[in-house]
Amino acid sequence: MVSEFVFATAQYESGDWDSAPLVPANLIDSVARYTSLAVAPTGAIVALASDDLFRFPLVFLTGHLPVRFTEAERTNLRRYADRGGMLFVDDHNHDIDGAFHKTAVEELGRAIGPLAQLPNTHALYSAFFKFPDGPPNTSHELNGWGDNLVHSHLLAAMRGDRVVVLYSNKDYSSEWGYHPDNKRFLSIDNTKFGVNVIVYALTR
Amino acid sequence: MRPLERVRRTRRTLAAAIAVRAALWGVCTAFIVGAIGIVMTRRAEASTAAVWALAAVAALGVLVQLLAAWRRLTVPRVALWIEERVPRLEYALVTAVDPVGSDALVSAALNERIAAISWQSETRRAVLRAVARPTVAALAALVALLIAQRVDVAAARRPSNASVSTTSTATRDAPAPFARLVAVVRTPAYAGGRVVRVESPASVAALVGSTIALEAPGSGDGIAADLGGASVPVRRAGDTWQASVTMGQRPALLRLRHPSGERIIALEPKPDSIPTVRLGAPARDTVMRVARGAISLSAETHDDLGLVNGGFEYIVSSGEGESFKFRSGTLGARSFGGATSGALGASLSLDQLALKPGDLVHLRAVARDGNTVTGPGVGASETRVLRVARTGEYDSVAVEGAAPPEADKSLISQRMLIILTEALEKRRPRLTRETLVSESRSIGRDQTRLRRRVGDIIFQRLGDDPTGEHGHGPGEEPAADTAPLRGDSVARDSSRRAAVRAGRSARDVAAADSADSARAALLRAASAATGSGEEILDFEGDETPVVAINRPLLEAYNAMWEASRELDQGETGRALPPMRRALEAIQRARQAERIYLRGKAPAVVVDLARIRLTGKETGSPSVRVARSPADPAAARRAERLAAAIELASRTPAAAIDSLVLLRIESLDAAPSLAAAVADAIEALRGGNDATALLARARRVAEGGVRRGAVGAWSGAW
Amino acid sequence: MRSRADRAKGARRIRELAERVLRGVALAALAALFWRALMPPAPKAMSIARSDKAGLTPSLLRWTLDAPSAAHAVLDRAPDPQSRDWIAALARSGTAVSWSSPRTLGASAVVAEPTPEPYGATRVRLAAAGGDPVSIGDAAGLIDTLPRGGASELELSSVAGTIRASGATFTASTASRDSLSLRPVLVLGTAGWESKFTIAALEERGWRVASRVRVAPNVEVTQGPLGAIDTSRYAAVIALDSSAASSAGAIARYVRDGGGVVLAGSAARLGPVSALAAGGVGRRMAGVAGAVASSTPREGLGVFPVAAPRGDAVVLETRGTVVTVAARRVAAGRVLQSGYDETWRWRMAGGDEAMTAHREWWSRLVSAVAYAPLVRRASSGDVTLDGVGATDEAPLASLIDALGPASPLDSRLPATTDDTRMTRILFAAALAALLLEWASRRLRGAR
Repeated sequence: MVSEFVFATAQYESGDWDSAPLVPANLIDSVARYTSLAVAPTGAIVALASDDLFRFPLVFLTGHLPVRFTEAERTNLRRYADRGGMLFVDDHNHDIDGAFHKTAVEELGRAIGPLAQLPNTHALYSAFFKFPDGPPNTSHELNGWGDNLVHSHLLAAMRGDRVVVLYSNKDYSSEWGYHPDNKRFLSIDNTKFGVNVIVYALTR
Repeated sequence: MRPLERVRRTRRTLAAAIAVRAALWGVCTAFIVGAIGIVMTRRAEASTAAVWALAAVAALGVLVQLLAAWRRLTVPRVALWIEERVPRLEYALVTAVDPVGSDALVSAALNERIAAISWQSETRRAVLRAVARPTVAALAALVALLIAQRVDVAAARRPSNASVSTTSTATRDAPAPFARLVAVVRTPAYAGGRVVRVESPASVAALVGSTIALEAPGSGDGIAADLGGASVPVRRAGDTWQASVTMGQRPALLRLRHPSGERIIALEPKPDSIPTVRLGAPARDTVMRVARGAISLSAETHDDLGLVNGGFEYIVSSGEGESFKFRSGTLGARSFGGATSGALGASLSLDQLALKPGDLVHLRAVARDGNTVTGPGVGASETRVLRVARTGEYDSVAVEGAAPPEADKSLISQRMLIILTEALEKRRPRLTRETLVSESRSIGRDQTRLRRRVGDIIFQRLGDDPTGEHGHGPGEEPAADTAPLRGDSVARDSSRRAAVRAGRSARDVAAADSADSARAALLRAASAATGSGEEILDFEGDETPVVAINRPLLEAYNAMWEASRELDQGETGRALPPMRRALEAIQRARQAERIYLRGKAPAVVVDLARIRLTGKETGSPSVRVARSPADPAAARRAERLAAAIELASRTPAAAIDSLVLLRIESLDAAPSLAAAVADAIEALRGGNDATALLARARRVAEGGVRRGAVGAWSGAW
Repeated sequence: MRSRADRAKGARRIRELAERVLRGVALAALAALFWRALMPPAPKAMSIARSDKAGLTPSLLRWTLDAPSAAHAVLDRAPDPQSRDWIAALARSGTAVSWSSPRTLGASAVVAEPTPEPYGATRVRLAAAGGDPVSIGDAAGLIDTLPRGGASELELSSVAGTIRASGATFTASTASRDSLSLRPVLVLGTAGWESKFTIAALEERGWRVASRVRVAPNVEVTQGPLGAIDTSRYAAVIALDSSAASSAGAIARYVRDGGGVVLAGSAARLGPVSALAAGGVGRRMAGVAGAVASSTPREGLGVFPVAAPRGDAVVLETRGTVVTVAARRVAAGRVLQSGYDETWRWRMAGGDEAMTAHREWWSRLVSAVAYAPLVRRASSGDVTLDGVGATDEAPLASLIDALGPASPLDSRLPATTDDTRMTRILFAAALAALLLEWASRRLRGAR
């Protein structure tokens, strides 16, 4: 018996942590479509300040609003990263100068470590599917949404050679924020990179 | 006794005196030569064996020379010697011992005359005079020898020159170019630029960014310096030479090399800590119905070296869904002018912010220090969130920040009870049965009170009488009933009784019954939840938020009941598992509350069986790269420490150098080892016994010795 | 009546005669000494030596020179190897040597060997009878003290020179003269937290890991040298779950050839491997709530108990009455069955030392079964840091082996006088005679 993977969404005090409620189901669906991994059919929600955080070694964090961790959240995250946990953060605003990005980068730097560009040749981009050009662009980037910003790299904080924080400005929260049954309407499954993130977390 | 015999006896006495005198003078000579030789050879660091050989030869020479007087001790000479000291003899003695002899009558007369005279006292005086001086001289020479040895020992134990610095000094055997080495440490300008001199440094601890100038008298010819492998220029400054480095962020070793020897100086950086900021007002997050007026802001800040400025930062977020706008600003900015502590104050005008329903204000205090080397260091306080409620949220969200819910307090209490029970369980073997049961029951009473509080919360949420547990009020002991909470009986009794007490109509009582049924179902679910299933029940699959909120508390309630029962019987060991279950359930309840205050998120359950492996593409993962060992140098550090300890018994100076190197390399990776090694280095440098400290350092390096019984399985357990 | 001159002459003659006699005595004494040096007499009585503060060496030296026909040593502790070998050599050269002790010399043994783990730790096993404290140390100093002796096992990450175990009546010493050839370990499992953190723990602990982790049918994440599962390639195989089923046959062969296998969770159910496991796989038990962060973290983990352990299985860990870890030897190999399937929760949610403890626990698991052939060290341990090359791993046993068991002193045989006493007497006699003769001559004025 293998303990199943549970997709966990982080709940934090300061912002709209629940702004992407359909992402968990969508990625669970993708994991089940492409892999034989044991996965829970629904996601879980876990408070960053709670000891329950350590039950989920991969946690997804998103939002639009400024991110300000409490001391308990900061302490927990530091310990979480040291133990082997991985935080996947996505800026739901997909802009660099936005309040989420500035505050999240600052808070993550304080809690865990500075974020730096992750090379597009990193193992993450070949953990399951191959992404030779790095992180796939999202329709929100390509449509512009008024900013025409395409972010060529993801950011990451490392512990040795291990990614402990994967940070995205590409608004995967919007890209993947639809009911999984609607995948049948897409010619290309745009959630494959999410599978890479999950497989990377489970195997590296 | 005949005169001749008496003369011969005197002769033997004088011969003995000559021998003793010669011996004393010989000893005196040996001591003096030895004392002089010790002083001279220590300074020249030569062996003392030659000195003692020389002293022995000198003593022998003196002895032989003085013993030559024996030859002259003939009988006539002794007789003359006696005659000189005893004039009464009037040469009778000399005549009597003359071997030519005289006739019998004369001999008889001489014998008679001589027999009446004694010269023992003169002989005794002469002997004392002969041995007195050499005795005193020998004693004086012995004292001189002892003084020479003690002075030399004291000089060997005198410590090296003390320094005025806070760092440690080097061993005394420094090569000549480094013998009077001084480190001049200047802190960075932002830290005041203070200067500290360290005499003969072996390590220098200073702020990151400090400049360290090493200088010593001499031309500096032949001296090479390197810091972590990078060459450091050595330049001449007047009659001294200098080498300057800057303290980096990581520990490093500065090596000074010269043909006559080497010197190692450890550089230990002290990081500048960031300011600490504590936000005083507002004290907690707030939700407002209407944003009007002003909110006063206050904060305190401290820094180790000096603050530059600080203020309050705010970010206003407006919008909803996917569309947000942000505004940010600062308030109450002030300068601190380098003070190490200060206060911040400001007033946040809500009117000026023009907040609308749904807007959020994130607020915090920030302070900066003057670190111009690696900073500035920025410290920030906790963030407060001020929110303007939307219209639809008025009923579900308190206007003012609420006090911590009861569940949180229960959490703390339950933890305390577990700690107390664990402590009692540990003491159990040493306690009598009566004492154990008494203390266990005391904890059981606290557990019961806590259980009733949890019960009150449950019943309050169900809209029921807070004292719904069998009608017992707070402070009263519970009934002897040991049955856990059952859905039907308790709930029905409580609300029906409440309805009857209130004098409600029959219809109301029936309505209460109906509500009771719902509650009974709830409690039945809770009872089922606390059954003996394999998995700990998780609330996430529940149907309604109400059940999800209360189920954990119900589990906690029943677990506490079970724990109370065991504690009443003194079974502390059996009480701990349900107590821990109760704690976990309370934690889950706390979490459930936070989630559902904002409304339940839509739950999409993926039909895994239907979609499993239906993806059109197949993954092709890359090869995994191995992780690096956690601390590959740990074993090597332990080996090096063991080798250094073994070296300490033979060559302490070399061992100290090895330990200094090990300490610097351990500062980052193994700070506890670095600290333990530092203690041992200090003891070795002071000439004290460092055995215990080295043993402690070794235990730290090895992470303790893993010891166990020799098991049936070789080596594993 | 004799004249004075005659009397003086007579006295002088007597004195001269006495001087000649003294000279003769001195010469005789010197001749006797010379004779003794060439032809020492064979003593008839037993020579007894006692080991005291000065040790046995002075007595052994005397025995070597005197070659007594019988010698008895009274020992208050087992002698060091040099003394023991010396006594044995005396015995072989014709002296009948026996020994006894006024107190019981406790049996003791100490042995050191490398552990099959990265970084080359040393395992020291000690057995000491008697109940007295035993201190264990090496050239770098004291390592540990056992308050009551007995049997004990220590693991030391570093050792300087020879390891010594000292008690009241013995000092035993040993050194690890071999090292191990440690190959990588192979981990087989399904992608998940358990496989991720198990591999991470082993790699962080220094093991070289090869792995095959299944993600999808025919899709695996691989690492390291992968090939046939045999002892030339892997020190151990760790099967975490049923994904190792395709390799079950190869694993079984590997074990029979000497390899080591760890079967975790329900992996012991795999067909060909189940016959090798320490027992069956019981129904999964949940962990105790909250125990993961306590001092007994594994009690908080779910476990598949080892059901009905086989007769030759060695139980290594239990939870109450339930066996959670057990091992057994199968042909040339070893199989360890661990019922835990979610040890990753211990690492993530455990106490402050959980990461290190989790690493160490997995490393010990693998080390318990790892195939690691011994390799003799190049230096062969003859020269060690403290300059002591010889070891003495069982002092009492070696003593009995060399000299036979203890035997009481034979009281019928008289003890010998000190042979050196005659030498001293003769020397003193010669010296005194010479000095007296010289003094007499000189005092009478002769040259």
